[in-house]
Amino acid sequence: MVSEVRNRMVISLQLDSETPIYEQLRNQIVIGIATGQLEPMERLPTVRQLAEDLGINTMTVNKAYSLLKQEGYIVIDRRHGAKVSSRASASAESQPPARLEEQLQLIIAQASIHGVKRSQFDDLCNRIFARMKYEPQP
Amino acid sequence: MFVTFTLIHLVTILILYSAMWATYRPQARYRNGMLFAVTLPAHAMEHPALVNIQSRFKRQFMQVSLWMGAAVIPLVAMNAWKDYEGFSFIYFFLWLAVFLFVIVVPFRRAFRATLALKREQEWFVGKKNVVHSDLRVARLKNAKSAPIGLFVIPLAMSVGTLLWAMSEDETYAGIAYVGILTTFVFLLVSFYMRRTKAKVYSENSDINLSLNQARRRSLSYMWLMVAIVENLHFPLVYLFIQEDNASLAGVWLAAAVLFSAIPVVILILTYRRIHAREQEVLSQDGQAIYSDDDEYWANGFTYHNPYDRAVFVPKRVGIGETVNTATLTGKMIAWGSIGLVAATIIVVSFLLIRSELTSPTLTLTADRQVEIDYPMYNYDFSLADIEQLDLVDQVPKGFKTNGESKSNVARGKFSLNGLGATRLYIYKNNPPYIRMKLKSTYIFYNDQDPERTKQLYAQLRNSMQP
Repeated sequence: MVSEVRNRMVISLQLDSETPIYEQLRNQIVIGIATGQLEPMERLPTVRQLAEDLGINTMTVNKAYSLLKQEGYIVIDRRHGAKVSSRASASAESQPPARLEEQLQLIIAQASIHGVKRSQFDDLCNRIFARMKYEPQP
Repeated sequence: MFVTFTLIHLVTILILYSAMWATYRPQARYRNGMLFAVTLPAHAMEHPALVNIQSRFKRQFMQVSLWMGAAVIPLVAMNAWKDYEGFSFIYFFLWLAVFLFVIVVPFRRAFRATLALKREQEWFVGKKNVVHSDLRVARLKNAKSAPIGLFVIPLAMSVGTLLWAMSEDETYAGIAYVGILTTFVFLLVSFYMRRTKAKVYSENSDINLSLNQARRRSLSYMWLMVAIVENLHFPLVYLFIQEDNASLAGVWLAAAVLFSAIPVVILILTYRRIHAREQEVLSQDGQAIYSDDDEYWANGFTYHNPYDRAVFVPKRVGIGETVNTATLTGKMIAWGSIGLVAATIIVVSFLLIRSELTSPTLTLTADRQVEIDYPMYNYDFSLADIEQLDLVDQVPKGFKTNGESKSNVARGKFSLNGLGATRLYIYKNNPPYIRMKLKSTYIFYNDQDPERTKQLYAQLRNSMQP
């Protein structure tokens, strides 16, 4: 059960996971933005601050931030550091993200092999969508 | 001298005992989610095997303390026996080394036993190899800390002390340089403390932020305060060295004790306040975040984590930070400290032994030069430099500025009442003494055999006749 505590923006990275650390970091920030824990225009720690706080290499954090910037989730201001993108810029593209169908196909394929029914899957999707507090500008 | 040595030894031993008891004895209780520096869930404390481990530790700790206490008796005996006085320091160093090694043995045993039980019972507390960071805290953790710029105050004090020392008597300006160096050390500590990781206390970001900011605020002002207090100490030390007044020794001793004790008290009080604040806030908030790091705390009190780039991490045992020996800087600090202590002990022991086995010699050469030979304090001068030559029965009191002073001998540079700068090469309480007055210094010299001293005096007297 996900706690409904506001202000819960704790990053947890599994160092010996198969998923690379920068990818875990990027994913958690994206989820944070979508679930409203990171608000648009909210400032993020600098690369050095975050790397020090996690005890990991600055290059790893740099890679995550570059990826996020490239994908449009954050902007990097030379003076103020990294910030979550504003609503306007993030939803500038009305197309869904490039690989959405590709990623969903893999997930749904695995799910159906494991015997997950369509209705179960839809329920799960509904629950997850309910957590997403992000409201793009109309 | 017996009193002085015994005081030096006993005070050091008492401080060591207090520190070890205050640090290791409380590890037998379950606090901060840990027992013997092993993270355990609260329900694990009900397991009966743990009670055995706890009582065995307490018993062994007491035994080691008592046995090492008994081992102090030979030390006191050596101090009382004049012939062995110098060697008593060698025994003292040995005792220190043994003590530091054995006093942690009961703890390490208890740590390993607890860890083994934990693994067997699978009492894991959080996942392994997981790191956490609260994004808001990572950005704002130092926001309420003392600005580093405030260090300009203690730095100005130490530079001021240096300027004052240079203007008065440059010989002892070294003290002021040490003052500047010490202030820089505190500045560096304060600076690096800002870069240590924030602690993720709970899932509630507001709590994380306020606790981390409060902790860093307390610590940053603490280091500033300690730097300022120590900068009051250095000018006082300099003043005392300057004064020719040996009777102030009691005052100076009191000041030395105070200025060592005050920072310790400030540190302990600050950390206790931080801890109390944490306990109070967290007891109301039930969302703690755990991570299981045990495998990196190999001995319970040492940290070795190759996946962690941080050099300083909070200690599990005691207060303050310890180094990550998997980092290069951490290794240098750990081995450097040990190396420094070992080198100091070896050098001092060597000097002590040599001093026990060597005596000064005074030679009058064919070309009217006087040569006094003694390791590190050789002094040569021309016979013509002697303004006044006497045979006296007493040497005035004073204090040592650079040399060796034991209960039976004094060799080196001293500052004596009424005479000022004096070089001594004497066997104490063994008149007569040859007293020579030179332009810049006095010299007192005698031989262990009073007859030999008189002969030497006669020789000098005769040579001085035109």
